[in-house]
Amino acid sequence: MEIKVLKNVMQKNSAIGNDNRDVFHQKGVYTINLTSSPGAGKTTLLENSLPELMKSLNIAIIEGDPYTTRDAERLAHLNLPTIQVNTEGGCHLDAQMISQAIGELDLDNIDLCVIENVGNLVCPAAFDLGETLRVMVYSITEGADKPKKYYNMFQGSHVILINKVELAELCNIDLEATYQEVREINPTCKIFQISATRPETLIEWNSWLAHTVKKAICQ
Amino acid sequence: MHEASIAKYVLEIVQETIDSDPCCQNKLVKSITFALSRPYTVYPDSFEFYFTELIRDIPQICGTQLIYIDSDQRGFFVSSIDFED
Ligand SMILES: Nc1nc2c(ncn2[C@@H]2O[C@H](COP(=O)(O)OP(=O)(O)OP(=O)(O)O)[C@@H](O)[C@H]2O)c(=O)[nH]1
Ligand SMILES: [Mg+2]
Repeated sequence: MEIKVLKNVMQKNSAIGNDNRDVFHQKGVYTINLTSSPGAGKTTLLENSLPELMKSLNIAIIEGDPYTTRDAERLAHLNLPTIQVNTEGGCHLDAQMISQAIGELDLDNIDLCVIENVGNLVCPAAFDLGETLRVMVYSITEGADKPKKYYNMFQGSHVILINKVELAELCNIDLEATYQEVREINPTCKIFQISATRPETLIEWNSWLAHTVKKAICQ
Repeated sequence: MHEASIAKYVLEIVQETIDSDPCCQNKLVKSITFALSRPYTVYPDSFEFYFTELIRDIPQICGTQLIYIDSDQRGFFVSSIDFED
């Protein structure tokens, strides 16, 4: 007895992602899905951005990591509610993992939930988590050719943080040309040039994000 | 490695199909047919590794055969499920 099913497996993830989005929206929680290749600077960004953002927002963290709790340990001194999600080698977070993590958070007392995804420029682009904003960290040390190679990730991000810009000259990177290539692929995203290790380069990003989150959660 | 998530979602689709049709509920799953487009974004070998692990302790499904057919439609679809008569 054959039953026709004809279901797209990825739509399963999208449906759970949409449910997550509804839950976050109902609870007035703004959510960021932070993506990048391994080592591009996601955790460094959080180490240096969150202390500023915490002054005006209640923040929670969902830390995605293949095996370890290393990133969560780096952020532990901030004393923020943190949920560790280990993918056991998996290359991305999926909507179901976030759905489980949501159950462990006190959403009534959170304004901003930051999800650090697993470092990977391919798979996370295909898995909607239910985030409000997809923020990509693009480290220029990986080379200026990456935007067109990892098109889906660049094209699907709402914000692109071009990171490690102080190393541009050492890495033979023309920052202006890199900016233009990112812009060509994604004409509408917000772009910031930062050095995540230097908090003074994060002022514009921090204030834009705090303003954007407050505006959204007040609506 | 995203095949681990895919395997989880496939199992959910199979279980939902079983739950939604009383005729299927006590019947063994003989085969599951997948339709996938080239270039593959899901690798059958890797998918099978995770899926076999997930169904190992589910008697109704653990003996199933997995069949793949090429499709023009972009994506990875559970096309049909064949139950014993
Ligand atoms: N020079 C320089 N180094 C940076 C910058 N941002 C991050 N790093 C360094 O890059 C390395 C990796 O940074 P992480 O923040 O761990 O990167 P990540 O994206 O969280 O890495 P995964 O979570 O493993 O994917 C660390 O040694 C950081 O100190 C920067 O702006 N300039
Ligand atoms: Mg990290």
